[in-house]
Amino acid sequence: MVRDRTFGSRLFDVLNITFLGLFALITIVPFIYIMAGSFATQKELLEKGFILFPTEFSLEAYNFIFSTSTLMRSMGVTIFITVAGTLINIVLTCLMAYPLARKDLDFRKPIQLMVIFTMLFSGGMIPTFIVVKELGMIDSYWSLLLPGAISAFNLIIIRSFFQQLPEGLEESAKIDGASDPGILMRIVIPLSMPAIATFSLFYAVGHWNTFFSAVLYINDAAKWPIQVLLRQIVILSQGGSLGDTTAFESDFVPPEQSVKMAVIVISTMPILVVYPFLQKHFAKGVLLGSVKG
Amino acid sequence: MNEDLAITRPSAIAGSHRKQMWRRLARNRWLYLMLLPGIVYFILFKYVPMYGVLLAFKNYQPFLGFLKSEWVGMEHFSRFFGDPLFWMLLKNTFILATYNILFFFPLPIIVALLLNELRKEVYKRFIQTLIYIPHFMSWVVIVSIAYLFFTTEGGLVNEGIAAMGGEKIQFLLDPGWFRTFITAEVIWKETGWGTIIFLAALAGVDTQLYEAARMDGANRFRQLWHITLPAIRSTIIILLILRLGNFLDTGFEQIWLMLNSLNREVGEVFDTYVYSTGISQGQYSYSTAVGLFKSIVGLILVFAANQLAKRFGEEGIL
Amino acid sequence: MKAKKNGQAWRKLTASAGTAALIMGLLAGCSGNGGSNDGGNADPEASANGGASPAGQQTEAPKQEPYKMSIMLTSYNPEFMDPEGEIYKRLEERTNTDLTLTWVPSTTYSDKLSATVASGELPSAILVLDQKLPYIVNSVRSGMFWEIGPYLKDYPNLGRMSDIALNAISIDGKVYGLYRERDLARDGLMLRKDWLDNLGLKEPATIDEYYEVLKAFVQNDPDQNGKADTTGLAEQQVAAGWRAMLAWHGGPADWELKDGKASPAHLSPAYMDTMKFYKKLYDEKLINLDFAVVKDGKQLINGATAGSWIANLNDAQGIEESVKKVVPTGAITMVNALEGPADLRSPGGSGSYGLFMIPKTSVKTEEELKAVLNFFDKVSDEDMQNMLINGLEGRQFTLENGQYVKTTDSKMLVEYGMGDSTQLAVLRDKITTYGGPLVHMRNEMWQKNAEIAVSNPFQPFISDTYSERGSELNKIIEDARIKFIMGLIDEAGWNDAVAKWRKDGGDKIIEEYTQAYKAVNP
Repeated sequence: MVRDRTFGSRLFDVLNITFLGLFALITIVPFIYIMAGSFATQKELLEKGFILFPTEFSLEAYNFIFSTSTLMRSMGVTIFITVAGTLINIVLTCLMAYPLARKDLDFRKPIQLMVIFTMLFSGGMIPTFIVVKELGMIDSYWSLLLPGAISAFNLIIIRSFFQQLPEGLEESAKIDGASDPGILMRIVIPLSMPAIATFSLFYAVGHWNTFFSAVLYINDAAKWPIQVLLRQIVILSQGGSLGDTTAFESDFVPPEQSVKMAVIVISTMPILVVYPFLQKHFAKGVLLGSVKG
Repeated sequence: MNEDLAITRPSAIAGSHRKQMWRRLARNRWLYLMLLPGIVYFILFKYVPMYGVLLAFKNYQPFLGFLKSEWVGMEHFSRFFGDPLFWMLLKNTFILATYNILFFFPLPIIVALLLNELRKEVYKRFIQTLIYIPHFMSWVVIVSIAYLFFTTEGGLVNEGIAAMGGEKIQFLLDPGWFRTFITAEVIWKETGWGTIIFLAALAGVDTQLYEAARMDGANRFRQLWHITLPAIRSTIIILLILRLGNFLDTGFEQIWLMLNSLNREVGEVFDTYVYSTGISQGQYSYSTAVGLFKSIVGLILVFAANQLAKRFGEEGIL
Repeated sequence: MKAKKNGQAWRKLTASAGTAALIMGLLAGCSGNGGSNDGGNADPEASANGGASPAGQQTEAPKQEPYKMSIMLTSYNPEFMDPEGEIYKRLEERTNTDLTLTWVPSTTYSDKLSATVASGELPSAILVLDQKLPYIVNSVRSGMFWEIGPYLKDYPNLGRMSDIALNAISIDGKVYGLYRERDLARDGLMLRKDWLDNLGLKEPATIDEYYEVLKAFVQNDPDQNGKADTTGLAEQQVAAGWRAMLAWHGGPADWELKDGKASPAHLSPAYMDTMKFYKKLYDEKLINLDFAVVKDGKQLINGATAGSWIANLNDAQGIEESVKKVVPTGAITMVNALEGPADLRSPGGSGSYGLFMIPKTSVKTEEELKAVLNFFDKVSDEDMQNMLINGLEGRQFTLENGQYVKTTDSKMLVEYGMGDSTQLAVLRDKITTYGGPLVHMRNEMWQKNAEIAVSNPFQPFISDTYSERGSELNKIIEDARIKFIMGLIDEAGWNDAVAKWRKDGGDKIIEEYTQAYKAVNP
């Protein structure tokens, strides 16, 4: 690799890394506060308000959350929804995006118009609820997987990624007798791994955060995903039930402030852990080279 | 490409044209089969419930159901446009949305380009991982952190100002600071997340192009301008057009949390208004009417932007 | 070469299609169909017998078929009641029902309610938190719910329901639901006892004394740390203490009857007096100056930096626990009401929080209605009330020297949904109150408050303009009030805001309330 080693270039490198480093620092400080807070004692949080490192280490918040007997079950539900849902999303989105990326397709425009129209207009919560109910999906996990199976936004962008692939590759594959599914599987998908990884992440995060549709479509609380549980814990820690003077009117004391923060840590962690594994797909130009070679 | 050929062929008469189309359809049968699940999905989950839009012209009563609720024509719209707050809401929403597009929209692109210029892959991955974390924090958390920093009673920033002998600033109450805060919070929360899509687009750039450019003596800025930017240009344009479709969606939760008695005159937007007058009161028809208004504005903007993009020789979204 | 590869790709593709099909199959296997209810399908004969007899017998014949019913209600806890648990079992046994409870997280309750209502698949009873929402009122008027008022006297427990509370939940003068009982006037003043002691002060009895206490809390270093770092009264954006302070200054609870007409609180002279009092506190820095942006003012007293808090006295216990974590000697005391220019008074509420309504679409016959009412009647038996609120002795709690000790066994906690079982309770008049001195003090204060409560005579009435524009109109008044307290507008500015309120719909609300009131009280 030929390297550009002029003074201006090096100065730019220094400035660039300083700027990005500062930006990263600004964005991460509040998360450190949340992390620190989740391990802090109530006394320290109440007295100092803002801390970046707890002087006294406490696991009380995590003990409180993990004492919930249904935590593991709802975590399981969420993992299932995330894996199965993302798989469905990616398969259906790619299947639809590829034909739309092909300019020789008849009716391409009206179909795209139909997709884009749904981004602007929607029937709203109640009519969608009724459709889900009529399909018999109430209380079934299908109600969390199918109503959002394709995001129009993601579809349009994946389509445009597909369109940008060098056309020559497809042409030569076709001349060699490859069928359309063959081209999609062997050429388009491998070449679009950065995009597939990106949109898998987008979809997965969406499933991970499933909350509203679960409350709406699932009556059986045993099937609730983890976000429902975590939000209930947050409400509890805000003394939410106190306003209604319910539970243990006699001696109810809301759990520690740190619980709220621990909830955030728990609900963010898995996604953060997954990210670095996806990152390797963003490595510049690697795939293109390998396929061509 | 085949289409072009068909058009330019002078001998094409109607009959053979139709035959060609059938041949194309037959040849592309796999493509149609691939489209099928998606089309079924959109019809079932998006178009079947679409009748809900008509609620805007009815007085919807959940107990009566959709069919039995009475038609009221444009009543909800005239109530909305006739509301003494309408023009204030429109102005506030418009300004906040414009701030968002002017100040927030370009940032993920810039940061993605800067990340792309980092020479060490380790730095790049590390910074990328850090800056995307805030996306996962709820607005409640972000607003409460903003309070910890900017309140006049022991807020870190104001304590700093006071320590240096300055006068404390009512950041959170002063209407003049409201839009700055809303936009800055969005930048803080979503910039890192927004870069992902552009990084994915940048990953598709052929490295051979850079090497060739370097051979020709192009410096880094020229490489950026002539190779990198063109590679992500269509992604930028598509995202911008799609963003315009939701132009009037300023988001509800963040603004709702940042609103207070002193900044309401600049802070109240369609989304917060429709929440307090429509949704929380169970006035579905009215909420739907406001939503429909926003959608129509979005529709107009999307088509206008798409035409504009096409005029400049871009693909657009259609 | 490429052709060969093509064949391989095909195999790959079919293989992955096979995998996809397999996954779909697995998904199908996981999807259940339980949970949905069919409250309307119960055996009519059984429910006929299940209905309570007017004589008020307690025991049921053992062979009766349990009535199949379902209830949708709010949940505030991460765990819902275990349907296999002891409490659930006893509930079904006593009420002779086959019970399905649909728990909905409190934050999404209204969405779920409207979707459920719209889909037409209603449970036998639904909890409605705000019966004055336009769509509830309209559905009541179109006959969607049972009017249960006339039936109540036939039930030994439900017959005890208070007329005041029933009147408050009524719509057009009729009762359409079973309210969930709460004390009538629950607001009061909570103060740091140890600060009072440090300064040699006693609990204030009047507004003036309270003002002196606040001054001492701010200026005389009540926590004795040598620093001027204390606040007198903790307040927040949505004023916690406003209603109480207004009542103490002689103002009404939200609305009052004046010269035969409805009149909102903000038109009363007491409102201006109360604003001036708050303004004095603000000007002299006796409340937290950033109250207009504070979401949860209670944190200030929890964190031991503020000395008083005016709100539901139920908060006292939690505040003391929090304060003790920072200052081990910290303690909280209460004052039920402060004396002002008028007699001692306290702002009254409705005496309830939410009501169970019974839809005619799922409970079709009068016999079935009686079975549902029987459920709520039995739930109000003394032992059932206590079971729902406190749990069962030896399972959810034990008594050690008369002190209530909650279990830590998570299985036992799940039995009563970590306390969600209380959501089912209707009457609460036979509950044994456990807990420390603060809890008993609180109950005493509530009883005192009930005697001096002023209530809103317009509570049962409906104003269409209020339903439509109420929230926007309230904002005009609240914003002006906060600006007045902070000194950003003067009395003229306040009057402008009131005029705007009147013009934008306030006058219409006054008129509508007055008319509705006159229709019932000619």
